[in-house]
Amino acid sequence: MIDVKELRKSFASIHVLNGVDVHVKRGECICIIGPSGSGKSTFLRCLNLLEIPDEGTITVGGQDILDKKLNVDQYRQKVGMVFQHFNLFPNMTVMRNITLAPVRLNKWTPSEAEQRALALLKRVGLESKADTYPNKLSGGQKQRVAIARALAMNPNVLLFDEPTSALDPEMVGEVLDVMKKLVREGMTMLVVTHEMGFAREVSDRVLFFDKGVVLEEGAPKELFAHPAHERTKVFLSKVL
Amino acid sequence: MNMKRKMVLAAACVLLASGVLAGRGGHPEIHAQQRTVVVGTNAEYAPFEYLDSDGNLTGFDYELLEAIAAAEDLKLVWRDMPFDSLVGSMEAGDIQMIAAGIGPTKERARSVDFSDVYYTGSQSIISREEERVQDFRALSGMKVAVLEGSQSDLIVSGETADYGVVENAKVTRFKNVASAVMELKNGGADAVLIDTVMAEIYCKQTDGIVSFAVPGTEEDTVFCIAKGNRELCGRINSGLAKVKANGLYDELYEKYFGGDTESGAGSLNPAEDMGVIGTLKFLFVEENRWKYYVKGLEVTVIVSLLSVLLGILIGLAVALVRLGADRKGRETLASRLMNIYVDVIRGTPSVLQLMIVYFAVFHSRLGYVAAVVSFGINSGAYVSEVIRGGIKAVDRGQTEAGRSLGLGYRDTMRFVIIPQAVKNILPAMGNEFIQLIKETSILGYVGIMDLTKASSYVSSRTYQMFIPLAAAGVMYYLIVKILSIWMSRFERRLRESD
Repeated sequence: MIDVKELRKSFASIHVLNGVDVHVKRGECICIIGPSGSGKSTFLRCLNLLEIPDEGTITVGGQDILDKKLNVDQYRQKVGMVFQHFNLFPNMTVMRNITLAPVRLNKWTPSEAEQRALALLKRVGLESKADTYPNKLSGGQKQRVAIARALAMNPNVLLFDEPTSALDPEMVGEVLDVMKKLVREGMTMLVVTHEMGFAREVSDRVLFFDKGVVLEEGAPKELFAHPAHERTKVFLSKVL
Repeated sequence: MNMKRKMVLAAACVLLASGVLAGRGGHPEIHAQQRTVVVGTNAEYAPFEYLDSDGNLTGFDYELLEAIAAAEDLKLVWRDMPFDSLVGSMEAGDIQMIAAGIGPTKERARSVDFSDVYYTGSQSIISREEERVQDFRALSGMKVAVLEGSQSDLIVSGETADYGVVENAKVTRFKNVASAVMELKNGGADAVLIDTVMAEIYCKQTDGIVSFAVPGTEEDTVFCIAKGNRELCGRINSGLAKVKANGLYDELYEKYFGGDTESGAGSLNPAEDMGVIGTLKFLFVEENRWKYYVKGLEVTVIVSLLSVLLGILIGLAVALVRLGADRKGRETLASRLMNIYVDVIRGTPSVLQLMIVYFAVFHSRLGYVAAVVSFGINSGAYVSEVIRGGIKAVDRGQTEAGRSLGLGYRDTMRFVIIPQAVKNILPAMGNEFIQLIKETSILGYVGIMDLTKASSYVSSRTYQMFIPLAAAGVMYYLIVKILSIWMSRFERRLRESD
């Protein structure tokens, strides 16, 4: 479904991605781990064009997304993104955070929007918070709303950029639970994370990023138990 | 009088005489339609020209020239402007005549023609009673206060060489007589050199100062006429002759320069102790002086308000262009121009901007429009920075979140970024408006009677500095206070959604 080849990206003189090749099948949940500065987030942001790669190809559902003629806004509707810092719109209620894009982009009619948003909130366990403003929510609640907001566009893929890194430890679980549910429902997901437990438990594959390349990848049990590279071993020994 | 000056005057006389002849030769009786002449003046020079209690132009020059115009069947349109810009306005063709108590100097003769002499004044020295200055030569090395651009200014600055004895004088130039006299009383100046008529008025009004008429300083006063307009010059001279012949001139002379100065310089109460109520009554009630404040307040508020609106429009447009360039990551031609605009406006004093717009662009016409344009352009530069700063201060993640949902740039700006930016922008915007209101106090530089100018005018008519100016200060303070209370209420209401 997603095919990335020889992806390169640098900021000024710093080479962040040095030729990344990744293939993702429909319904797969892929966790991306690795030391900070290894290019995980940049890679993820390239997938919905928040960063424009310098070289390489990205094909999604058979479509070359680096084509200059691509309608970026239309493409992004199908690729949801969940951010480390939630990025909820503080000037809107939870309800409006969720309904804004689908209504503006004519996916939902204004009359059905409320019902659909409530259904999504129910999925993340927050149907009682519809009329609340984001600053009244806890971190975990905010991230669950952010996930509901991304789901509202009915995307084919969800990208998670360290979704639990900004949370207090006791709130990590509620967010991971929602994500696990999505995996079980068959959502295609790419998750940049430091939650090794989550990676081990639910992901189909783990990619270990180092210095802008995928140094090692494999099924989580395999990779965690028998890392092939010395750097992977060192990293895992620090985080596990 | 030295040789040069005599020659210049002689040349001027020849010019004038030929003008008279030309005017006479042209059958003055045959003027079917009344001709309109635009006259420039500076109504800050009582008793020659000043505003009466209703804000109407009056004075010796005014009444005399109106009488001349009546005799010659001319229609006069008066335009009040700063003294410094009179000659320039005539060169630019905006006015055809100047009536402002002007002396026929050789510098002026280069750019204008002169009428016959209609009044001869002289210079006096005002000094403190206990340190009398009774000799013109004694001014050397002294601190001398004068009216900016007046005959006294020319003399003491050595531009009129006839009185070359005033050397090393430290000259301070004031916009009105009251300020110059106040400077003297405060000890900031040792003497005020000024027209004798005014010196006498002020000495009558103010305790502790005396005047001394300097012998040999008689100066002629003439009307200035656009260079080469001999026909007009001739008719003015012929009219002046008629008015002198029929006794009207003497009547006016008596009215303005005779013993009774009351009529000439408005209500000039003696400087005796009037008590608090009496003083306030004198300052604000008499001669309906409060009307100046009302009018001035109106001008200040309206000009500020319209300028703010124009500033927001300009600022918004400029901010959008510059933000567009920021977004693309490269400058466009438009954004480069906007950068220059903001840079220049922020790097130059607003009073210069105002004078350039008023005099050079609008040629002293449409004064209020010129003022609003100038302040609007000025404010726009600051507003654009405020808006740009406010938008940039919204977390990048907000844009990314909006765009990652598939919302376009416009929708993201409209629903997500701008509503948040408004909260950042409002407080800074409020400050900008407050700044602008106070900034309009420079309107006096282009002769517009705003609140500050009104107060300084009242001050110049009442010979009091503190209360008239403080009254304007209180009014500014109240406007700003009301505005800031209103702004903070508005902000609070916006914050309720957070």
